[in-house]
Amino acid sequence: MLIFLLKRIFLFVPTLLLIVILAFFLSKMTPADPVETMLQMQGVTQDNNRSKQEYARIYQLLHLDKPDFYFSVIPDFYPDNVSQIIHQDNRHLAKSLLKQRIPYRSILQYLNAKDAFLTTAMADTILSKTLSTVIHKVQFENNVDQLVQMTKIRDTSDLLDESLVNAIVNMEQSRKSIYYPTFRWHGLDNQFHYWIKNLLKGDFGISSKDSRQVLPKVSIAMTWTLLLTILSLVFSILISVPFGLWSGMKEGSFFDKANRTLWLIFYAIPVFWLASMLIIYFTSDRFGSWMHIFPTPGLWYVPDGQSVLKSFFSFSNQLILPILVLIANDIAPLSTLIRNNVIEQKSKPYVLMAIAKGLSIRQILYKHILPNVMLPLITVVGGRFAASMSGALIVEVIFNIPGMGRLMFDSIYAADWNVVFAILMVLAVIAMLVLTISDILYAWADPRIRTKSIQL
Amino acid sequence: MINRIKSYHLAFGVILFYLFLAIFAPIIANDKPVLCMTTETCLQPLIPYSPSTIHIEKCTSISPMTTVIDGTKHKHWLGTDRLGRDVASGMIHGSRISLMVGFISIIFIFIFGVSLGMLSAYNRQFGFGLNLFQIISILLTLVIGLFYLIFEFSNNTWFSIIGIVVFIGFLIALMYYLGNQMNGLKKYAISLDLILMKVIEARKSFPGMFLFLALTGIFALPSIWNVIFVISLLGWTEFARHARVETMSVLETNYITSARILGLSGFRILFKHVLPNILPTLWVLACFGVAGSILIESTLSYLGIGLPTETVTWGKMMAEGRNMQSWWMVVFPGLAIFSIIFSLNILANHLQKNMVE
Repeated sequence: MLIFLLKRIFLFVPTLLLIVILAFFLSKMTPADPVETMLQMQGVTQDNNRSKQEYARIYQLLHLDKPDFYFSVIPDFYPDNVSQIIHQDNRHLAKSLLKQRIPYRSILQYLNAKDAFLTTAMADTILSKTLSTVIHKVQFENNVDQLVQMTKIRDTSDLLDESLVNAIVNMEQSRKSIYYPTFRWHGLDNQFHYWIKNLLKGDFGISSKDSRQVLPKVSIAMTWTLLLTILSLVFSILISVPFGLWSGMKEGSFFDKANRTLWLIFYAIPVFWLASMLIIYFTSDRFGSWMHIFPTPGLWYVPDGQSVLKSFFSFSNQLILPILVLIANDIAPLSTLIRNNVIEQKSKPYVLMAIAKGLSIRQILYKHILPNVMLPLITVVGGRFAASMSGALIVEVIFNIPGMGRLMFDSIYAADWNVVFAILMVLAVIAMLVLTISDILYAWADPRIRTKSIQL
Repeated sequence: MINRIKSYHLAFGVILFYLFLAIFAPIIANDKPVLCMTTETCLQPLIPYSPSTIHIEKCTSISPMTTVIDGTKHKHWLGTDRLGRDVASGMIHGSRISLMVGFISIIFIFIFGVSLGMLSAYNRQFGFGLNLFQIISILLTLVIGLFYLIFEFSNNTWFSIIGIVVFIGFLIALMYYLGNQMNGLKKYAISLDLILMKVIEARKSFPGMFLFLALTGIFALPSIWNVIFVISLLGWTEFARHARVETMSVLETNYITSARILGLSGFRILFKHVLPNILPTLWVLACFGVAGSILIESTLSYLGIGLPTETVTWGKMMAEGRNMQSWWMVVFPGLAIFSIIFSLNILANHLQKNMVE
């Protein structure tokens, strides 16, 4: 058993590492600029001389000027690290020019010429109309072909100074058509290293929405989701076990058919439809006062410092509908599985023996068949746990429960990516824990597997 | 209780009906006439509203079947939404999105998942020896190919991307062939199966909806193709799992052994002898898969993520109906989703039952 456990834990670590790396690169793909959101949080307005200094300070503080990973495989004309360009617009410009296969040296030359041109051009107090359009174009154009076009037109090219024109022409001429991969080693001084160091300290960053630490926020939400999921799973097992047992025992009877059709219908109902219908019909008295059975959803007020369990029970009347919705979707697969297993077990000799002994059907079902049916149920419940959490996401959004699904939904809308990735990683850990626990339970319940794993 | 044969026919009919609606949506529901002989004699479509016609003055949020005098137009059979857009028309056009996502994503999932599952089962059963030359050259090809793929992908030229993918495939096949010609080298067993099982296990234990939400949120541009891409990316594991199990049971039969004795190549065995035998099971899975994809798409659009704001989908209508407390916008699109998923499930059950017998 111990070896079995150790083996599971040994597999834990590389998977976790893989998830962390994946999460990091996904977070790099998000459209938002973390420094920008931090500046907005501090109330620093743009177009302010101090805002540029502040941007640079935070940019370096978050180690964003470092390379992404320990190494990189990039085309030969790429620089080691594009992120070291601190000025935001220039960095984006350089990145998009690199994508057009322009060597980094010509890009740097262009950026310098551009900055010089802009400072002299902006110094003019009176801007003519053509000059202002030229400035605008130089500032924001990132397509080389468009820039070259500009140098060819007479009245715009006259306004540009010579070094800028040269830089543009140089860019266009040095454009690569063939490139090959190169391997660059960056060492320990990279973003991923700092990030994972913070993760090990338990620092998942700061939520850009309310500038609170991410981890406490996520852990409170996680408790809600786990409570909801576990509660709904327990209820659905309690319901589906007797239904599955009896419909398997009376295979082909009216009860069996009706039972299966009913759960099949419930299975095909989308979670969000059922939830919306229940909210519309049963939480208000628009369709007659007798329909107002359940309280209006979304009246959550969780005071700071109150424990989650306490607030969970104080809102228990609001949790009836969400749990009902979650159960409705879970019963069908569980009861079908139990039914099919009962049919399989029913023809085994030990059942015949029990009948010959004169036991009643109820005794045979609950004492002899049930333990054998519970075995495959363990793995399926492990799989259903993930499905239940998916359902919990939708239910939380609809019923306004402050769980992980609601938090994730809000964070995606607010582009609060730190929270999103923290949730994803927490979920990955939960998933792996559930997998391990269900494996251990399975081994505990079935002696055959336990002995096999020791032999391995 | 409905007879089983009848319920299966009914389910098939429902799916055909939705396919018909989806294909002929612009003819059935449109605010322009279908056919005009003269300016007076025009053949109007069945529902003379397009899903984007806005009537804010008179027709905001009217419930179904109430007659509103709004000039020349007809009744709104299923009511209107907050902006006075016709719900029936929106539902007919929404069926296009749902079915498109459902069927296109299942094609990608099918191809990718089934081929991976079959390969890994073959790998487990007979081993998949590669010699040192093959291992090194294929790994190098993959790394360099991935590199060019990533850096060409940022240019968004589909032609070159497809070209690169085909070229990588060609190179790998070439390397494999060349390696087979070198007889002296020692072969090493590659355990593709173990890796695939770990991936499938991990995917299965992760709550998918969170991943769907995060991935569709990361894509800056909401579009139907992004949704299809994400669904395909996360959905293939179930197919691979089933294809693997089925292939393993087929590979144990005697005719596969005799095919191997005859010296047929692995790919020939898989495609000519294994695939036809596992297809019936895969059709069942495909039915469930289409239902699942439709459900995911409608859930995502219910949550307001993934699809562009201007496209009308069933999920979006339901979200608005819930916010505005208008029951007709929740009940009818919900019924549509429910009926299509239920029909697909019945069809799958029927196929499964036929297959067993």
